[in-house]
Amino acid sequence: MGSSTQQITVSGAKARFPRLYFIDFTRGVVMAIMAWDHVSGFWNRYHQGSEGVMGSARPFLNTTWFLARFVSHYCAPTFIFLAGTVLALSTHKRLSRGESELGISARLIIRGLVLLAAEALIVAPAFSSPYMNFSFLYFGVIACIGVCFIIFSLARKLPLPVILAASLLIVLNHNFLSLDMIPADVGWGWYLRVIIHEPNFEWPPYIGLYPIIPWIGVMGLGWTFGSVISDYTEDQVRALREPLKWTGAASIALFFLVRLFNGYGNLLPRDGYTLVDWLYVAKYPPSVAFLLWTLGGMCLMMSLGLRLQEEPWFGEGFTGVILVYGRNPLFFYLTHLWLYRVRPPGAQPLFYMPMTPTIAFWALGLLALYEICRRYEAVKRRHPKSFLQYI
Amino acid sequence: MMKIRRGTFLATLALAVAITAANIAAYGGGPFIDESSLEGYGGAGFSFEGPEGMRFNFSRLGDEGLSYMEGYWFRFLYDNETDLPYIAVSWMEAAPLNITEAVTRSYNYTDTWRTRYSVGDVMNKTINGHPFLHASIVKQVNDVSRFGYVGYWNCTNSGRVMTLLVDSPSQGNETYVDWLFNQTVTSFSCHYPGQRPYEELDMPFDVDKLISSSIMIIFCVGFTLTYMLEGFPNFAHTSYASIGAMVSFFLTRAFGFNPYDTWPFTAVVGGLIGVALYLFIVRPIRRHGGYQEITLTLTFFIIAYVMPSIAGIFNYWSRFSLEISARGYNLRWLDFGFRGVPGIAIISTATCVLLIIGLHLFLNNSKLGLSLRATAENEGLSAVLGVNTFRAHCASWFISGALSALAGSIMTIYGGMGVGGDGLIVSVMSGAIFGGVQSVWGAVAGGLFVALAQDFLADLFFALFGLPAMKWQGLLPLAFLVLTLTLFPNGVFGDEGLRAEALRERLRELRSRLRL
Repeated sequence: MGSSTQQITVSGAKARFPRLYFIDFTRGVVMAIMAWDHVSGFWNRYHQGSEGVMGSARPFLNTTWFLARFVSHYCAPTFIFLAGTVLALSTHKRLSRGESELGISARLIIRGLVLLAAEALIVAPAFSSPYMNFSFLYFGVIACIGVCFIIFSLARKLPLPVILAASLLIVLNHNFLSLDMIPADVGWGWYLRVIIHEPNFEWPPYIGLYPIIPWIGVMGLGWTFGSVISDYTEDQVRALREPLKWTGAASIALFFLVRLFNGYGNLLPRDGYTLVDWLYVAKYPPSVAFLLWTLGGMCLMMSLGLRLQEEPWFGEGFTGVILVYGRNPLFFYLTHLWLYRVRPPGAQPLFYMPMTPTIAFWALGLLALYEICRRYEAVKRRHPKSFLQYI
Repeated sequence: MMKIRRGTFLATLALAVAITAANIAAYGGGPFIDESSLEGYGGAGFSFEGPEGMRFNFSRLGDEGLSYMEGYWFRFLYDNETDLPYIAVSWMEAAPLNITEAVTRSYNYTDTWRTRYSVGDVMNKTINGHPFLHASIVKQVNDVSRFGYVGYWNCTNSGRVMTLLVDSPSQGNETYVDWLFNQTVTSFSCHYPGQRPYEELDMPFDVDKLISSSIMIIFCVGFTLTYMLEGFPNFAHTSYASIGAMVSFFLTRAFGFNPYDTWPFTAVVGGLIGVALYLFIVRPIRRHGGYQEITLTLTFFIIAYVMPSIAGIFNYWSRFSLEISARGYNLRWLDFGFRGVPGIAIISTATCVLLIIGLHLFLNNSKLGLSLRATAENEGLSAVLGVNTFRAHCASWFISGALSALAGSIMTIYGGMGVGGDGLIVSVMSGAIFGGVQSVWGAVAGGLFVALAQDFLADLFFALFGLPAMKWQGLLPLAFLVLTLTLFPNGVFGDEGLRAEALRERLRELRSRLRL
């Protein structure tokens, strides 16, 4: 990772996105954190997840293992929010270049289908285990984004206030949603419930963790944000730093209020006053408390990105690596799963690792991923019209 | 692209908040998921290894309890599998109100409508540091009566309440059920599935590999010792390990020994067999001028086939005289556990280390040990210098026999041992040759390497190719032997050792052979 290489990469990126560099930064950070969550899931016996699946709150071994998992909560909301943001930005760019509405919608549908295929063929096998064979129907975060893209191929035509209102309503009210009208004793009905709002693993192959509701609301918020800033001037973008900081702080403060009252917004109630009690929130589906904490953190991260963006060394060294991850999120996602998994589908690890070597493995993997993503980016740039444009 | 005005934004936000507030007013603000319908969630999901090779591995959402058993070792005790004991474990967040509820929970509720059962007096004991309330029960299903015990304890480690029920047909099995219940209780780990106490967290190895390495090292050292003195490979080396296993089994089953207490007897018997082999096979062949490596090798090849027959005779006698069936020798169910680690993992490793250190001290510091080494170096010269070579030979055979028998005893507790040495000789030869067959430390290194490498490759093949690969697992030792003989005919710690030039030469030879 010589600095000269960094310069080339960063300058290339800067030329393409002169002002919205902080988005790549934020996304890159959460990609790296997400890699930790997955490498830990693959190699640590005491790593666990599924917080909130059917109201369950599996206890963690200790606070360290809890925090090791909790830190990764930022990833999915940021990933999906920024997917919406970038979708809006790219749509705006394409429209300004004169591309047809139909072409843009078709592109979104193709992108969504590619994501669905990637989920079924690459992601789902990577998460399979001896206890849970992989299912082509597994509805994970990539599939969720894919379906959201397809929905947005039409929904993008709605007025922005409508998209914002719908998104807010979904995010704030999804816990009132009842799917009783869909039969749960037949496969299709069960799967429909899983996809829409009831994530669980109870009836393979009809399994999933990222239901469309409320995640499409999160993407809608991202879309709104992207639409708003799509034609911002450089000064306006720079001025976002303070509002983002305060929005993030307010969101986290609201999180503590919601947890304190222990009522609305908590799909998992707070059982006590320990750190874990405060922070143990439902992710599947994401409760309001969960989204307040994570999206609030994302706002702070974007604010930090805007702050760093002003620095002359931004894009070199550590930030350069992060930006490479952030510019290739899907490729990073698909690659890192198998890079860290290092075993065939359905197999359990030959051994489990303690936390410290896992961290070392994670760090080594990130170095490798930097190189892989950098090379991929160069190939993609050489072939802008190829299939790679969808990845 | 459409934009949004500040006023519109605020109005939209206000609208969303208002609708949300209305929803909260209408439906309540608390966690919306109805947890009562999910009461059973977390009530199951358990992995537990019980006595006598039983394994519980059950994870099923929505169940209020669980019961499952694999009783393959019970077949040594029962002719009819339907007479197997029943063991039920449940774990829930809520404590049962009393023993009766613990019973219904253990029988999965649905079972109780056609069942009558009576509960004895409640007793108390401590399990994993938690108070454990339990009582005897008699269950009556139609005309069948079953006797058992049920108990529950609150595991503060996992925040769950565990119930345990063990019952069995009441045909004179009360003592056995009592024992089985206590065994199950003492070996129980009450933590959340996948969770262990801190002390066990950073165990960087697999206990199975630890035990198999210890066994392989002990075998390799014994094999090497014989080779050093006699100059031929003792093909029967692992076969008379089955005699050691037999002794352990006999003393345990017929006289009620603890399997670990049988080890000194096993070692003595194994050592005496080794000396007998020397006195009645090796020495006569040598004395009568028939001393050739090939003669002794073939002789011991035959002995390797005879040994299982002796074990077979013992098994027949055991079955009809002692009424103890012994198709193989398995004493695993009598092992103890320490914080989830099988006792044999700890004891076998410690024994292996102590044996190696002891042997090292013996060979370097004692007069007999030095004479043994001198005899191994040059028997003629040693005899001229006054070394009692006969005693040295006897000592080496005794030691290698004792080690082999001891390894057999370890195997009975580890995973059971067949009557024929379980075809270990190929692996042992690989390890010994890899180690150079010239020093104890070479044998230790060779044994360790082969054991770990074989386990690793077996795991790797299983991970890559699944269960079918395990059918070909038997080829691994052979492959190792071939590779060792090809690349390191004198071992890594032998004369040529790991010298790059020697290895290159071997590879060159191999390439030229393959071209032919």
